Amino acid sequence: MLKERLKIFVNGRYYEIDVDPRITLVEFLRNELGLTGTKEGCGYGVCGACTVILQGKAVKSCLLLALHAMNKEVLTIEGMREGDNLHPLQEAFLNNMAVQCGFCSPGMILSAKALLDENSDPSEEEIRYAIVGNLCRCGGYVKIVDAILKCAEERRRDIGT
Amino acid sequence: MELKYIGKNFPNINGFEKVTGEAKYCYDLVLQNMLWGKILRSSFPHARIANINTEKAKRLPGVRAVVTYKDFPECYYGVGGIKDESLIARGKVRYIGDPVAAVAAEDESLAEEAIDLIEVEYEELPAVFDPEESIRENPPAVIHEDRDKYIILGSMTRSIIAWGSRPNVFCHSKIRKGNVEKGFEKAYLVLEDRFTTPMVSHVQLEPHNCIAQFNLNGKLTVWASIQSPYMTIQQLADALDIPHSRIRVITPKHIGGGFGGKIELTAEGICAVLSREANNRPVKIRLTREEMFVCTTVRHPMIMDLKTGVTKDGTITAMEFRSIANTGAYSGIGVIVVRNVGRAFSGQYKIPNLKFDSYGVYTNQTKAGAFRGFGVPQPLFAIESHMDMIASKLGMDPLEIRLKNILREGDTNVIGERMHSVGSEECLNKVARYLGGKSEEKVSKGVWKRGKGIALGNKYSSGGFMGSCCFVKVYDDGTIEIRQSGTDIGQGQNTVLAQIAAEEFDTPLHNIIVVPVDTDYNPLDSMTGSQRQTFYMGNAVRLACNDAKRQIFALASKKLNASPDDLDISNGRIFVKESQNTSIPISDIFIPGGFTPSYLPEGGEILGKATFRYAMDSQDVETGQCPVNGLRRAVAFYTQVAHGVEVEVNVVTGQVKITKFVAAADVGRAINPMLVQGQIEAALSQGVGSALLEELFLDKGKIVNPNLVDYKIPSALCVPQNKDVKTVIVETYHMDGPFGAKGLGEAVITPTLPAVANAIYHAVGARIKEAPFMPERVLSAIKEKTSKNNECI
Repeated sequence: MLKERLKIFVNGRYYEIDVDPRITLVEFLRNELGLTGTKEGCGYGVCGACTVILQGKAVKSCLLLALHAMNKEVLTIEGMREGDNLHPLQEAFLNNMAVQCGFCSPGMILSAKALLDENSDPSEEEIRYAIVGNLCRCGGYVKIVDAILKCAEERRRDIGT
Repeated sequence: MELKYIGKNFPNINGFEKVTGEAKYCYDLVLQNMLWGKILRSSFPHARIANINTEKAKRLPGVRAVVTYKDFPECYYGVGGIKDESLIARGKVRYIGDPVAAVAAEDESLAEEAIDLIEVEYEELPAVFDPEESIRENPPAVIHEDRDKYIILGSMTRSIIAWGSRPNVFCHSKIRKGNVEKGFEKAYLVLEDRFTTPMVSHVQLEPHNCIAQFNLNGKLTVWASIQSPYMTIQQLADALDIPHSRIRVITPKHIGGGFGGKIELTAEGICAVLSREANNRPVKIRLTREEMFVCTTVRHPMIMDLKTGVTKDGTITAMEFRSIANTGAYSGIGVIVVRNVGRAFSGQYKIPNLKFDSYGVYTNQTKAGAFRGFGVPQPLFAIESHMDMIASKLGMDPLEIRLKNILREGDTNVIGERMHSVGSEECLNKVARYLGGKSEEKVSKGVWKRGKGIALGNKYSSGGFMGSCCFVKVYDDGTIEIRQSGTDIGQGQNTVLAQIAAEEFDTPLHNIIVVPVDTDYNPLDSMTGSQRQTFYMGNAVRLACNDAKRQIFALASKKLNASPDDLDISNGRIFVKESQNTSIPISDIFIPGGFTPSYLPEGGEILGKATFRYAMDSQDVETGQCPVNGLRRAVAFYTQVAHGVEVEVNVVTGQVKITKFVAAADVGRAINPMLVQGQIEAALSQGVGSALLEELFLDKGKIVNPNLVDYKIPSALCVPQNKDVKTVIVETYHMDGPFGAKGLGEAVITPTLPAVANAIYHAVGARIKEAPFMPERVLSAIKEKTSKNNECI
C-alpha cells in the first residue's frame, strides 16, 4: 500500500508523516504519535472514548480516516494542559470526582470543551446533549455533569471579575 | 481521637493521570518485538471438531504461530470450584464463540487474515439453550459428558456440587428453615409468581486485553486488564500446568472498568501459548467490542419461582423459592453465583420458614460469570416485586411492609447468622422521605402516567478462604509505599487505602504511594470482587502500617531513650507521646549510604507485613444453616441499600422515563464520602441499564445484538437531571471494618430493578415480571391488565 503524506497540526504542533491511507485518525494519534490518551472502546463511533476536537468540533476519531484531518487542527487530551496547569475542565473533573475508571474521561472532557467553547453558559440539558455520545459505565453521569456545570460557572465568574 | 484523613473528600489519587491522558492502561501498552494475536472461534453452539487444518494460515507471510488444542496441555481450570474449561476447545465446542485456534502475527490485521485461512471441520451436535430443558434428567444434549471426572476444588464448593441424575446441572444450593407448609397455612395471603432476568453484559469501556510472554527458562509474564491478579495466576497455573511460582502477573496502574467481568481468563492463556510457539516473543490480544459481548462472561440469566405468604398485617410467614441460573457452556465462577442467590434472602428480611433451591445449569451459550451483585440482584427482583404486590393487596404502604419485615441489629437471619451493622431501616426511611409524598401518589399528564416505587437491596461480602495481604514500606523521607494486589478498577480503592495509611501514619496523602500490582513484588490478594477491598485490604493496610510502626519504634527507642510503646509518629517525625518536644525525623533511624540513599543498620528495610482474614462458619450443605454454637457468621458483612424511583410511563408507546432517583446505602463508614457517592450513583448506569435497556438476545445460541448500537447502555440523557438525583450515605459502624467501614460497590445496584418495576406498577397498574422493562414488555403488561379489568366488568 502506497503511503500518503499527512500534514496535520496536533496540539499546536505541526507534523508531516507518511501514513497508510487506510488508517483512522485514532490509529494515527495512538500509533504514529504515541498519544494514547485518546482511547478506543468500540471502533464504530458509539462509545465516544476516541473523541478529539477537530477544527473546534468534537468528533469521533475512530470514524474518520487520518487523511480526513489533512491540513487541519486536532486537539487531544494531551493538549489540554497549559504548561503545568490543568485546564479548568480537567481541574473540575478531578475535584468533583467525575473520574472513576477514567477510560471515558479524555473523550468526555473534550466533548465538554467543545461545548463550553461555543456556549459559556450551558443548561444541564445542553450539557447532557453535548456528552450523549460519550458513554460512561462507572458513574451515572451525575458528577461529570456537575463538573462541567461548575467549570462553566467558575469561568464566567473569572471573566466577569 | 479526631480523624484527619478518614471521612474526608480527597480527590482520587489516580485522577491527575486520568484527566491529563497520561494514564496508561494495558490497552496502551506496546512491548518491543511484540506480536498481535487473534482467536478463531466456533460458529456452532455445540459441535465435535473433526479436523483443523492450519497449513494455509501458517504459510501466510508475517504469521509467527498458529496454535490449536494440540499445542495446549490437556488441563482444565475453573474459578468457581469445577475445573471444566480448557483454554482452547478440546474435542468439541460448546458455544458460539468457543476458542478453536489462535494466531500470532506481526500485526493485528495480518493475524485476522490468517484466522480466516484456518479450516475447521465440525460435526454438529444437538444443542440445548433453554435452561428448563437443560435441567431435565433427559436433556436434548449433554454438554459435559465428563462432568463427573472433573476436578472439584475447595471444601465449600464440594458441598454444593450435588448434581444427582440431571446431567447438565453443575450446582444445587439449598436453604431449609422451619416448615414452609405450616408457614403458608398460617398466612392470610399467599402469592406465587415467576420472575425472569436476561443475559446482561458488563460493557467495561476498556476492552479485555493482555500481553503474555514466556521467557526461555519457562517463566511466564502476563500484563493484563484484569481485576484479580492472583486468581489469574491460579487459572493460568491450572490451565497451563505450570507452577504458580513461575507466573508473574502485572496489571498496569489503570484499569478501564471491571464490574466482575475481568475475573476470569479471556485470552491470557492463549497469548501465553502463542508466545511459547513464537520464539518467546510477547503476544498481545485485545478483544473487539463484539468479542466482549460474545466471548467474555455475562450476568447469569435466571428463571425464578417465588411463593410468599404473609399475615394480614404483612408479616412474612414463609417463602419458597426455586431458581435456575443459566451458566452457559462452562461453570466458571457460577457455583458461587448459584449459592449467592440465597444471600439475597439471608441479608434481607426475617423469614421464619424458607425452602430455597438454587440450581445452576449448563447450556450451549456464552459463559456467565461474576457480575456486580454476584447472583443477588436477580432474586431481589423477585423478592422486592413480591413485597410491593403484597402491600398493594393488603392496602399497606410499601415502606410499612418492608419496615415490618427487615432485619435489625442483633436479629438472627434465615441461615442462623447474627446480624451486625444493618442500615435497612434508615436507608428505607431516608429514601421514602426524599422520594416524597406517598409512594402510591399518581399524577397523570396525558399519555404519560407517573408513579413511584421503592425497593430494598443488600449484598454480602464473602469470607471463608478469602485473604488480603499487604506490605508497607517506609522510606527515609517518610514516604509510605503500599504494596498489595487489589486492583483499582475505577472504584477508587487506591485512594481509600492511601487515606487509611495516611491516618495510621498521620501524614499527608501526598506522602503515600500505592504501587501498581506486580505479583513478583506484591503479596497475595484473593479477589477484587465481592465489594471486599475496603474491608479486607483496608484492614490489611492498617495491620501492615502498625507492623511497620513497630519496626520504626524499635529502632527509634534507643535514639529517643524511650520504650517503643511510648513512641508515636506524625508527619514523618517519631516522638515520645508524653513529651512532643522530644522527636526525631524518620531519616535518623537510617544510616547514610554514601553513593546511595541511606539504609537501615539492621533488618534490611522498614517493611510492615500483614494478612487479614475473617473467620466464618461453614454452612450445612443440606440446610444452609450456620452451626448453633459457631461464630454465627457466614459472610463478612451485609451492606444494605434502598432505592426510590419516580417514573413516567407512556401508555401509548410503553416508554419509561426515570424522573427522580433516590438512593441510600449503609456503608458502615464512608472513608471518602465523594467516592462513596460515586459508587451509589453507579445505579444510574448499571442499575437503570438493567432495568430499562439491557438484554442480550439469543437465537439458537447466537447473540444477535453484540454491539453498542443494538445493546444500549444508559447515556447522559437516559437518566434524570442532577436536581432529581439524591444520594444518602448511612453509617452503621461495623465493629471489624477499618474505621467501621464496609464495602458497597455491589450493593449499590441491587435494588434498582425492582424499584423501577414497582414504580411502573404504581404509574400504570401493570406488573412486569420479566426484565428489562423495554417498551414492548411494558405495553403488553398494560394491555394484559386492561383486558383483565374488562373481564372483571
